[in-house]
Amino acid sequence: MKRLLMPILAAAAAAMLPFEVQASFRGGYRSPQDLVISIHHVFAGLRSARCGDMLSPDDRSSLGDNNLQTGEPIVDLPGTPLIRWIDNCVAAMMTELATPPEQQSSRENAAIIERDFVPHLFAPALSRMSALRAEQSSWAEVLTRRTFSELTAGDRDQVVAHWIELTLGTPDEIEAFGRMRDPAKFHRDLTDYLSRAGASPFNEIMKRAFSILLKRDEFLLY
Amino acid sequence: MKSILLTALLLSATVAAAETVMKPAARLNHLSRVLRGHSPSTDERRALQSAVTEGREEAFLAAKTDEYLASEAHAFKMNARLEELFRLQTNGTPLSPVLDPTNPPEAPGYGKSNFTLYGHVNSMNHLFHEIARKNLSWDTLLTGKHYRAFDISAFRGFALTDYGFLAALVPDLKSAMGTYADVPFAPETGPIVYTDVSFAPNDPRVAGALTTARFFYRFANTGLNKNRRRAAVIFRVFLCDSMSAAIPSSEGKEGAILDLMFPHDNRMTEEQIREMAQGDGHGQRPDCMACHYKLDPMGRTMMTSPLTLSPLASPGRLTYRTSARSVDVPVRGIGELGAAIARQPEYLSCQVRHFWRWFMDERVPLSPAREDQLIREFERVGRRTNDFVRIMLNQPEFYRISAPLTESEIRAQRVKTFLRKCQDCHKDQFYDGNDDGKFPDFTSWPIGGDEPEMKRWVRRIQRVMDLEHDGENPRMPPVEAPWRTTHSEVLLIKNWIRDGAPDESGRKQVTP
Repeated sequence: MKRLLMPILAAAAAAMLPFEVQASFRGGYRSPQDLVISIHHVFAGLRSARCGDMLSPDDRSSLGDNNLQTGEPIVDLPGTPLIRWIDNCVAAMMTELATPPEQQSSRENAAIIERDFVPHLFAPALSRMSALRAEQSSWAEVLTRRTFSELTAGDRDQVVAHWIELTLGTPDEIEAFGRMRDPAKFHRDLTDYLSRAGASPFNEIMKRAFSILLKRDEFLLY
Repeated sequence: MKSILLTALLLSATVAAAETVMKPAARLNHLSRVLRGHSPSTDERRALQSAVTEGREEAFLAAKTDEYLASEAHAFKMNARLEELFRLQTNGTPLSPVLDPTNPPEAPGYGKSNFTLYGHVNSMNHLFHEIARKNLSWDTLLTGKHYRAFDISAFRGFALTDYGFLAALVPDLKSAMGTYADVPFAPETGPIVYTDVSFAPNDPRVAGALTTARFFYRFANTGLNKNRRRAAVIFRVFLCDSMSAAIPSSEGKEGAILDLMFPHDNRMTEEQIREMAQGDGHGQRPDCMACHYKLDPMGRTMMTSPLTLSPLASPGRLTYRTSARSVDVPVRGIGELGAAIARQPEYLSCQVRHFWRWFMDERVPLSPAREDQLIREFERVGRRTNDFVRIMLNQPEFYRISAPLTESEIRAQRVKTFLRKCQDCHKDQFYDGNDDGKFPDFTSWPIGGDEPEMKRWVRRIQRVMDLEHDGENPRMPPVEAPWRTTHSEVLLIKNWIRDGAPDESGRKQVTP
């Protein structure tokens, strides 16, 4: 009995492994933990229920699952689950901006939004953003009620360039990954795309922009 | 004419080489992402631009390498690599900027680059950080005798902490208590309480990361596994012996196993169960003994410490065989075991390969000669962690631009990922068709070494997965295996074989 049960028990014990496992990708892709922490940096330390600064056990199936028996990664390359996870993460971050402080995922979020978020993400257009802030009672209101089209074309252009640098890097860094031949054209196209939706509030524009940027290889690779 | 041609050829080769090496901006980005896990800040990028303009980019990048290697982010990243290697989570947490006391909210630049403090909550987490933060010898993971023991029972309600784990060795642990008074890690519960504990350099009862509460609880001992689980992790992490459980052949026994799991009439007599169990000689089968002969003697070094660390060192052996030599070292306790492992050439080779995997594009092969050279470097720098990381960063391949994966590379990678799951069970099994009596490595193509062998194995895979009928009635994976093939995996392998089992370059390895 004991002998026959051994493989079954071994399999059952092995099935508990992944909840402890740090997932990783192959092919030069950054580890899920690095991706999580990088997204945390991009959003100035903001946390949502879906993504904070640490890889949670719930994230493992999205960011790279592991062999139940051995713990080896079985998702070698980022795939559809990662894409969905990033979309959900970005959407959740933008929802935090519109959530009353007492209902936010982290007690630090309100302070981050009010103090760090805009200087970090809108650095090139800070004077215009400050003017909008003077008309609203909080940065959260600016980000969820005022629109991208209220920035000048030049400001929009520079803000998008800043977002590209925060996520993918400078043009030299982007070219080094060998995926994009013309970073300037990518910048122009993204600015045009976001400007066409310029009547939308800032958080909606950021959701669109970062859903594109955070899924590109230039962000996902070392 | 010949010399002109030669010069032209040399020149074009130089230009081609230059094109594959990253520009300074890309180098800084790569360096930052690899060492810290995230990109450089805007300020760092601007500073690099100025350095490039002034022609001092090499000095700038060298200074940044020093800065990053000394950073908490690098220590945290090394912690994450070790977590991945050990397959556990140490639960260390990067402190959010709001909790960073060195950069209060009113300070200029707040929120920009102050993700600098990391919380330690147990001795393993602390050791994994310290090994990079203090540039300790990599052997400390095996031979370390200094611990920072944490008592976080009040913080998270954990009953089993480092204090309880070490209590039998250090009875007066609490009398030497210290606190992280300057780091308000958990403001609602007060500062974290810790005690620094040191043992004699030759103490046989303790061995770096192996004698931490986190390691013991993660790889729990049971009456059945008798510390073999812990031994298997030690073999895998420090000697690169994968040591996955071999699943014994189930041929002809599938029905019996299913009957046992789901009895026909919901009740079975003990006699019936005994009858089924007849003939399964786990522990004596060659498949099982391939691991047990080395796991059992190593497991004995932890025999007296089932849950907490025992004050008595338990004797055991470091035993294993390679194709070149046999190792059999009697040891007294896990402390001596760690020291014995650190003396083996297989340990050096294994650790160098870990570093290569962490710092190089995996498509860059590590040749035996190169591995030997890196082992010499590892020894030359006294096996110190950051010093060896620096050697890896100085390898010419580190800053080389790697081309995007081609479609055939992606397909080959997916197929190998699938075959690796088969390999995990089969690699330690014996098979009389090969000279060394082992299954060939399914991820090393051509499987079996040449085209006829590859063809034979491909046909076999086709048969056992029942690819002809889209995997309707497969024999592999066996019913007791903890995984099943998905339909998309079946199609992936079926189409790969249909197309001649192409390798990474798209070259057919089998004539369909």
